Amino acid sequence: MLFQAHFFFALALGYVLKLPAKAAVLAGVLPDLDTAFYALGLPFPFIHRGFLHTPIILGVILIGMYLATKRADICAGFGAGFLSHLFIDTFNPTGIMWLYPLPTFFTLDLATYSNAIANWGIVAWSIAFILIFNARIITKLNLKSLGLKMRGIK
Amino acid sequence: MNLNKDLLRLGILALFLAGILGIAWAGGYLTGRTIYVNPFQDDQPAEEMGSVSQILQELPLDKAVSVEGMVSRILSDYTSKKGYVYQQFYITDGSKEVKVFCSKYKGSVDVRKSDNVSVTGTFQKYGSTYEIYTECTNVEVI
Repeated sequence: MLFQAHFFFALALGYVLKLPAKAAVLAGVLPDLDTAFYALGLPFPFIHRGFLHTPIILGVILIGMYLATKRADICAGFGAGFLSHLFIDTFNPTGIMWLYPLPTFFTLDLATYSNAIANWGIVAWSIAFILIFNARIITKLNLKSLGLKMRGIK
Repeated sequence: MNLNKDLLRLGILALFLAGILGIAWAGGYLTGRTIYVNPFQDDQPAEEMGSVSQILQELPLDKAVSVEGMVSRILSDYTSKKGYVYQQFYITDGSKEVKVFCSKYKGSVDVRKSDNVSVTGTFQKYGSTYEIYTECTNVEVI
Protein backbone atom coordinates (compact mmCIF):
# COMPACT_ATOMS: atom_id res chain seq x y z
CA MET A 1 0.00 0.00 0.00
CA LEU A 2 1.00 3.61 -0.36
CA PHE A 3 2.65 5.87 2.21
CA GLN A 4 -0.54 7.63 3.29
CA ALA A 5 -2.35 4.37 4.01
CA HIS A 6 0.52 3.06 6.14
CA PHE A 7 0.85 6.40 7.94
CA PHE A 8 -2.78 6.80 8.96
CA PHE A 9 -3.37 3.11 9.65
CA ALA A 10 -0.40 3.00 12.04
CA LEU A 11 -1.49 6.25 13.69
CA ALA A 12 -5.03 4.99 14.19
CA LEU A 13 -3.76 1.70 15.57
CA GLY A 14 -1.67 3.67 18.07
CA TYR A 15 -4.78 5.50 19.26
CA VAL A 16 -6.99 2.40 19.36
CA LEU A 17 -4.43 0.39 21.33
CA LYS A 18 -3.44 3.39 23.47
CA LEU A 19 0.20 3.11 22.43
CA PRO A 20 2.69 5.89 21.62
CA ALA A 21 1.43 7.18 18.29
CA LYS A 22 4.75 8.63 17.15
CA ALA A 23 6.53 5.28 17.54
CA ALA A 24 3.68 3.51 15.76
CA VAL A 25 3.74 5.94 12.83
CA LEU A 26 7.52 5.80 12.52
CA ALA A 27 7.42 2.01 12.42
CA GLY A 28 4.42 2.08 10.12
CA VAL A 29 6.33 3.82 7.35
CA LEU A 30 9.83 2.51 8.11
CA PRO A 31 9.70 -0.70 6.02
CA ASP A 32 9.33 1.41 2.88
CA LEU A 33 12.49 3.34 3.69
CA ASP A 34 14.19 1.69 0.73
CA THR A 35 11.90 3.49 -1.73
CA ALA A 36 13.50 6.79 -0.67
CA PHE A 37 16.88 5.37 -1.67
CA TYR A 38 15.52 4.22 -5.02
CA ALA A 39 13.93 7.62 -5.62
CA LEU A 40 17.26 9.32 -4.97
CA GLY A 41 19.06 6.83 -7.17
CA LEU A 42 21.10 5.52 -4.23
CA PRO A 43 21.95 1.84 -3.81
CA PHE A 44 20.15 -0.20 -1.17
CA PRO A 45 21.25 -3.69 -0.06
CA PHE A 46 17.76 -5.26 -0.02
CA ILE A 47 15.02 -5.60 -2.61
CA HIS A 48 11.73 -3.84 -1.98
CA ARG A 49 9.32 -5.82 0.19
CA GLY A 50 12.13 -8.19 1.04
CA PHE A 51 14.08 -8.40 4.29
CA LEU A 52 12.76 -5.06 5.59
CA HIS A 53 9.23 -6.47 5.40
CA THR A 54 9.77 -9.42 7.72
CA PRO A 55 9.01 -10.03 11.39
CA ILE A 56 12.68 -10.95 11.93
CA ILE A 57 13.90 -7.41 11.30
CA LEU A 58 11.19 -6.19 13.66
CA GLY A 59 12.47 -8.53 16.37
CA VAL A 60 16.02 -7.28 15.90
CA ILE A 61 14.93 -3.64 16.06
CA LEU A 62 12.75 -4.24 19.13
CA ILE A 63 15.57 -5.93 21.04
CA GLY A 64 17.91 -3.05 20.22
CA MET A 65 15.27 -0.47 21.03
CA TYR A 66 14.40 -2.01 24.39
CA LEU A 67 18.05 -2.28 25.39
CA ALA A 68 18.55 1.37 24.45
CA THR A 69 15.39 2.89 25.93
CA LYS A 70 14.02 0.36 28.48
CA ARG A 71 10.59 1.70 27.46
CA ALA A 72 8.16 -1.17 26.90
CA ASP A 73 5.41 1.21 25.75
CA ILE A 74 7.53 2.69 22.97
CA CYS A 75 8.59 -0.79 21.88
CA ALA A 76 4.95 -1.92 21.86
CA GLY A 77 3.93 1.11 19.78
CA PHE A 78 6.78 0.49 17.38
CA GLY A 79 5.89 -3.19 17.12
CA ALA A 80 2.22 -2.44 16.45
CA GLY A 81 3.11 0.11 13.79
CA PHE A 82 5.52 -2.23 12.07
CA LEU A 83 3.06 -5.13 12.11
CA SER A 84 0.38 -2.79 10.74
CA HIS A 85 2.61 -2.23 7.72
CA LEU A 86 3.08 -5.95 7.13
CA PHE A 87 -0.64 -6.55 7.70
CA ILE A 88 -1.88 -4.25 4.97
CA ASP A 89 0.92 -5.20 2.61
CA THR A 90 -0.38 -8.77 2.89
CA PHE A 91 -3.40 -7.52 0.90
CA ASN A 92 -1.12 -7.10 -2.14
CA PRO A 93 -0.92 -9.93 -4.66
CA THR A 94 2.81 -10.31 -4.01
CA GLY A 95 2.39 -10.75 -0.28
CA ILE A 96 4.78 -10.84 2.64
CA MET A 97 7.28 -13.43 3.83
CA TRP A 98 5.78 -13.79 7.31
CA LEU A 99 7.93 -16.86 8.02
CA TYR A 100 11.20 -15.44 6.67
CA PRO A 101 13.81 -16.93 6.12
CA LEU A 102 11.37 -19.43 4.63
CA PRO A 103 10.80 -18.02 1.12
CA THR A 104 7.01 -18.46 1.28
CA PHE A 105 4.92 -15.41 0.47
CA PHE A 106 1.57 -15.07 2.22
CA THR A 107 -1.04 -12.95 0.50
CA LEU A 108 -4.74 -12.23 0.87
CA ASP A 109 -4.68 -10.91 -2.71
CA LEU A 110 -7.35 -8.29 -2.08
CA ALA A 111 -6.02 -5.24 -3.90
CA THR A 112 -2.89 -4.04 -5.67
CA TYR A 113 -0.58 -1.74 -3.71
CA SER A 114 -1.67 1.35 -5.66
CA ASN A 115 -5.42 0.65 -5.64
CA ALA A 116 -6.94 4.09 -5.04
CA ILE A 117 -10.13 2.88 -3.33
CA ALA A 118 -8.23 0.62 -0.97
CA ASN A 119 -5.61 3.23 -0.11
CA TRP A 120 -7.89 6.22 0.38
CA GLY A 121 -10.52 4.03 2.03
CA ILE A 122 -7.97 2.92 4.61
CA VAL A 123 -6.96 6.54 5.13
CA ALA A 124 -10.58 7.65 5.65
CA TRP A 125 -11.43 4.73 7.94
CA SER A 126 -8.28 5.34 9.99
CA ILE A 127 -8.98 9.07 10.32
CA ALA A 128 -12.47 8.22 11.59
CA PHE A 129 -10.98 6.10 14.36
CA ILE A 130 -8.32 8.70 15.13
CA LEU A 131 -11.07 11.26 15.65
CA ILE A 132 -13.13 8.87 17.79
CA PHE A 133 -10.16 8.10 20.01
CA ASN A 134 -8.87 11.61 20.23
CA ALA A 135 -11.82 13.71 21.25
CA ARG A 136 -9.52 16.68 21.82
CA ILE A 137 -8.99 16.93 18.07
CA ILE A 138 -12.75 17.08 17.52
CA THR A 139 -13.10 19.71 20.23
CA LYS A 140 -10.38 21.84 18.70
CA LEU A 141 -11.81 21.44 15.22
CA ASN A 142 -15.32 22.33 16.36
CA LEU A 143 -14.23 25.32 18.39
CA LYS A 144 -12.07 26.66 15.60
CA SER A 145 -14.73 26.19 12.98
CA LEU A 146 -17.36 27.84 15.19
CA GLY A 147 -15.02 30.65 16.21
CA LEU A 148 -15.54 29.86 19.90
CA LYS A 149 -13.05 30.24 22.68
CA MET A 150 -12.51 27.88 25.59
CA ARG A 151 -11.38 30.69 27.92
CA GLY A 152 -13.32 30.64 31.16
CA ILE A 153 -15.03 27.36 30.40
CA LYS A 154 -14.15 24.37 32.52
CA MET B 1 -14.82 -2.62 35.12
CA ASN B 2 -11.33 -2.79 33.59
CA LEU B 3 -12.24 -6.10 31.97
CA ASN B 4 -15.24 -4.45 30.36
CA LYS B 5 -13.07 -1.61 29.07
CA ASP B 6 -10.52 -4.07 27.68
CA LEU B 7 -13.24 -6.07 26.00
CA LEU B 8 -14.70 -2.90 24.51
CA ARG B 9 -11.29 -1.86 23.19
CA LEU B 10 -10.76 -5.34 21.76
CA GLY B 11 -14.13 -5.14 20.04
CA ILE B 12 -13.29 -1.74 18.59
CA LEU B 13 -9.93 -3.07 17.39
CA ALA B 14 -11.70 -6.01 15.72
CA LEU B 15 -14.15 -3.60 14.07
CA PHE B 16 -11.29 -1.39 12.95
CA LEU B 17 -9.34 -4.27 11.39
CA ALA B 18 -12.45 -5.81 9.84
CA GLY B 19 -13.22 -2.45 8.24
CA ILE B 20 -9.69 -2.25 6.83
CA LEU B 21 -10.07 -5.74 5.35
CA GLY B 22 -13.47 -4.87 3.92
CA ILE B 23 -12.18 -1.67 2.34
CA ALA B 24 -9.26 -3.47 0.71
CA TRP B 25 -11.57 -6.17 -0.61
CA ALA B 26 -14.00 -3.55 -1.93
CA GLY B 27 -11.12 -1.70 -3.59
CA GLY B 28 -10.05 -4.83 -5.44
CA TYR B 29 -13.63 -5.82 -6.26
CA LEU B 30 -14.86 -2.43 -7.49
CA THR B 31 -11.88 -1.73 -9.69
CA GLY B 32 -12.13 -5.19 -11.20
CA ARG B 33 -9.70 -8.00 -10.75
CA THR B 34 -8.74 -7.80 -14.42
CA ILE B 35 -6.79 -4.65 -13.65
CA TYR B 36 -4.09 -6.92 -12.36
CA VAL B 37 -3.60 -10.25 -14.06
CA ASN B 38 -1.58 -12.33 -11.70
CA PRO B 39 0.03 -15.09 -13.74
CA PHE B 40 1.55 -16.68 -10.68
CA GLN B 41 -1.60 -17.78 -8.91
CA ASP B 42 -2.38 -21.45 -8.75
CA ASP B 43 -6.06 -20.82 -9.45
CA GLN B 44 -5.38 -19.28 -12.86
CA PRO B 45 -7.14 -21.28 -15.57
CA ALA B 46 -4.71 -23.79 -16.99
CA GLU B 47 -3.71 -22.88 -20.52
CA GLU B 48 -2.95 -25.44 -23.16
CA MET B 49 0.68 -25.71 -24.03
CA GLY B 50 1.39 -23.80 -27.24
CA SER B 51 4.37 -23.30 -29.49
CA VAL B 52 6.22 -20.01 -29.90
CA SER B 53 4.96 -19.60 -33.47
CA GLN B 54 1.39 -20.25 -32.37
CA ILE B 55 1.58 -17.62 -29.63
CA LEU B 56 3.16 -15.04 -31.93
CA GLN B 57 0.46 -15.69 -34.52
CA GLU B 58 -2.45 -15.38 -32.08
CA LEU B 59 -0.88 -12.58 -29.94
CA PRO B 60 -2.97 -13.21 -26.80
CA LEU B 61 -1.98 -9.93 -25.15
CA ASP B 62 -2.20 -9.84 -21.33
CA LYS B 63 -3.43 -13.43 -21.23
CA ALA B 64 -1.89 -16.32 -19.34
CA VAL B 65 0.00 -18.63 -21.68
CA SER B 66 2.09 -21.76 -21.42
CA VAL B 67 4.80 -22.22 -24.02
CA GLU B 68 7.47 -24.81 -24.66
CA GLY B 69 10.64 -24.06 -26.56
CA MET B 70 14.39 -24.23 -26.70
CA VAL B 71 16.56 -21.50 -25.19
CA SER B 72 18.19 -19.71 -28.11
CA ARG B 73 19.75 -16.63 -26.48
CA ILE B 74 20.45 -15.60 -22.91
CA LEU B 75 20.72 -11.92 -22.02
CA SER B 76 22.31 -10.48 -18.89
CA ASP B 77 20.06 -9.95 -15.87
CA TYR B 78 18.13 -6.71 -15.63
CA THR B 79 17.95 -4.81 -12.32
CA SER B 80 15.09 -2.37 -11.85
CA LYS B 81 15.33 0.94 -9.99
CA LYS B 82 13.74 -0.71 -6.96
CA GLY B 83 16.39 -3.40 -6.92
CA TYR B 84 14.34 -6.24 -8.37
CA VAL B 85 16.38 -8.54 -10.58
CA TYR B 86 15.00 -10.21 -13.70
CA GLN B 87 16.35 -12.99 -15.88
CA GLN B 88 15.80 -12.61 -19.60
CA PHE B 89 16.28 -15.03 -22.42
CA TYR B 90 14.69 -16.08 -25.70
CA ILE B 91 13.02 -19.37 -26.52
CA THR B 92 12.41 -20.70 -30.00
CA ASP B 93 10.46 -23.48 -31.67
CA GLY B 94 12.87 -23.57 -34.57
CA SER B 95 11.22 -20.88 -36.67
CA LYS B 96 10.32 -18.00 -34.34
CA GLU B 97 11.53 -16.83 -30.95
CA VAL B 98 9.98 -14.95 -28.05
CA LYS B 99 11.54 -13.27 -25.08
CA VAL B 100 11.02 -14.59 -21.56
CA PHE B 101 11.32 -11.94 -18.85
CA CYS B 102 11.09 -13.40 -15.39
CA SER B 103 11.43 -12.04 -11.89
CA LYS B 104 14.01 -13.64 -9.59
CA TYR B 105 12.08 -12.34 -6.57
CA LYS B 106 10.91 -15.81 -5.56
CA GLY B 107 13.92 -17.65 -6.96
CA SER B 108 15.92 -17.99 -10.15
CA VAL B 109 16.08 -20.72 -12.77
CA ASP B 110 19.24 -22.23 -14.15
CA VAL B 111 18.79 -22.16 -17.91
CA ARG B 112 21.47 -22.69 -20.51
CA LYS B 113 21.48 -22.29 -24.26
CA SER B 114 19.78 -25.24 -26.02
CA ASP B 115 17.82 -26.23 -22.89
CA ASN B 116 14.20 -27.17 -23.53
CA VAL B 117 11.95 -25.23 -21.20
CA SER B 118 8.27 -24.72 -20.50
CA VAL B 119 7.18 -21.27 -19.41
CA THR B 120 3.88 -20.18 -17.88
CA GLY B 121 3.22 -16.47 -17.64
CA THR B 122 1.55 -13.44 -19.13
CA PHE B 123 2.04 -12.68 -22.80
CA GLN B 124 2.58 -8.96 -23.17
CA LYS B 125 4.09 -6.29 -25.36
CA TYR B 126 6.82 -4.19 -23.78
CA GLY B 127 7.85 -1.36 -26.07
CA SER B 128 8.05 -3.01 -29.46
CA THR B 129 8.94 -6.45 -28.07
CA TYR B 130 6.58 -9.29 -27.33
CA GLU B 131 7.52 -11.18 -24.21
CA ILE B 132 6.30 -13.66 -21.64
CA TYR B 133 6.42 -12.11 -18.20
CA THR B 134 6.47 -14.36 -15.18
CA GLU B 135 8.28 -15.44 -12.03
CA CYS B 136 11.40 -17.47 -12.78
CA THR B 137 9.96 -20.24 -10.59
CA ASN B 138 7.38 -20.70 -13.35
CA VAL B 139 10.08 -21.64 -15.82
CA GLU B 140 10.81 -25.35 -15.92
CA VAL B 141 13.72 -26.99 -17.68
CA ILE B 142 12.39 -30.18 -19.30
